[in-house]
Amino acid sequence: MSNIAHWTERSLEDFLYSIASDFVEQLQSKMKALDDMTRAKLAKAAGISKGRISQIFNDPGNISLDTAIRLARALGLGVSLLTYENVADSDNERGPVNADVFRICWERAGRPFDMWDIQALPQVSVTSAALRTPPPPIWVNDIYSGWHSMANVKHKTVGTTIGPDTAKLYSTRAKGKRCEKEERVS
Amino acid sequence: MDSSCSIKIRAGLKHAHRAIAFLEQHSASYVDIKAAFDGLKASAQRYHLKSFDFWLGDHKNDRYHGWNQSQHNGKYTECFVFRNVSEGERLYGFLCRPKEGDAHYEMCVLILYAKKKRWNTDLTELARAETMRTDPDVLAALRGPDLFKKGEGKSK
Repeated sequence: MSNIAHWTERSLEDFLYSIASDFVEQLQSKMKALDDMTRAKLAKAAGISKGRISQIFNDPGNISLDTAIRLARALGLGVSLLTYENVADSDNERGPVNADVFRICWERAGRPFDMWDIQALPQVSVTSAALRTPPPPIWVNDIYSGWHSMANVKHKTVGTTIGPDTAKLYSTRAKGKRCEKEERVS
Repeated sequence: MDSSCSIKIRAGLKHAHRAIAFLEQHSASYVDIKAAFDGLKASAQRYHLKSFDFWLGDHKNDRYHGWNQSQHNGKYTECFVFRNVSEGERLYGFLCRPKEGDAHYEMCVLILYAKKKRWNTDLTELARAETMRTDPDVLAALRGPDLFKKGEGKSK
């Protein structure tokens, strides 16, 4: 192990502990937000013994996926298991990205549910990507005059240019959001 | 001056905003963080290492805290503690800004370990952390050129 590697490089057990701790912190935050939620109530709702809940909260590393799902759902939370391309930290010198980072980004993005919603997002990253690599100009009104009438909304982008990436945004099913997106781009 | 004062970054060496270091050597007998921490069982160590990650990432939770102006007459506003409530453990230290030219960069230097049953603040330990914060040898070690070198602490 490199002398600057993150502690989760020491063992799989350490890595598991780290990500399970993030998960348990999220459960605890939700319990606090619910005010009257106790470990006993959570145990009952999740169909898990109180002792097991204590074990998990004191040593998150031994949680199973089955139990994780039960606990999250008992608190009314959705639950996903995700991976990511760790290009910025391929040697794991900073440890796994905290689950809260993903959750907060997702919430700030308007809680997209699927790829349709992702495509409909008025993302800053899309416009900034377009700015980094200036694409050949495309006249919005020329290409999208068809759906302007479909969307049945007043359009403001006279003379605005957008790139191909940005243009893809407009071919989504979220017609009601199109004008908002174009205003941001322009 | 003490020639055996040594500070070593233990978490966040490559972090842009924060790091956690241990005061690994000092003539003061109560400076025991290295021996105590390295002697912890794996599960207890993991808890603190995860707490370090939370602090480095600026995630708010109750695993650590400082003291504000209204507490103890504002004497310990630069002191800091990481704690594991279920195990009754506390790691005391202080906050500082050791990078010249980067006033926002923050380091938590931990100095001593305490295990107790009661949870009200022990002013003795807090005072020790404050003493180390202004200790000339510690300050010199924090200003040293080797502090941010990979895997090495500054030894004076």
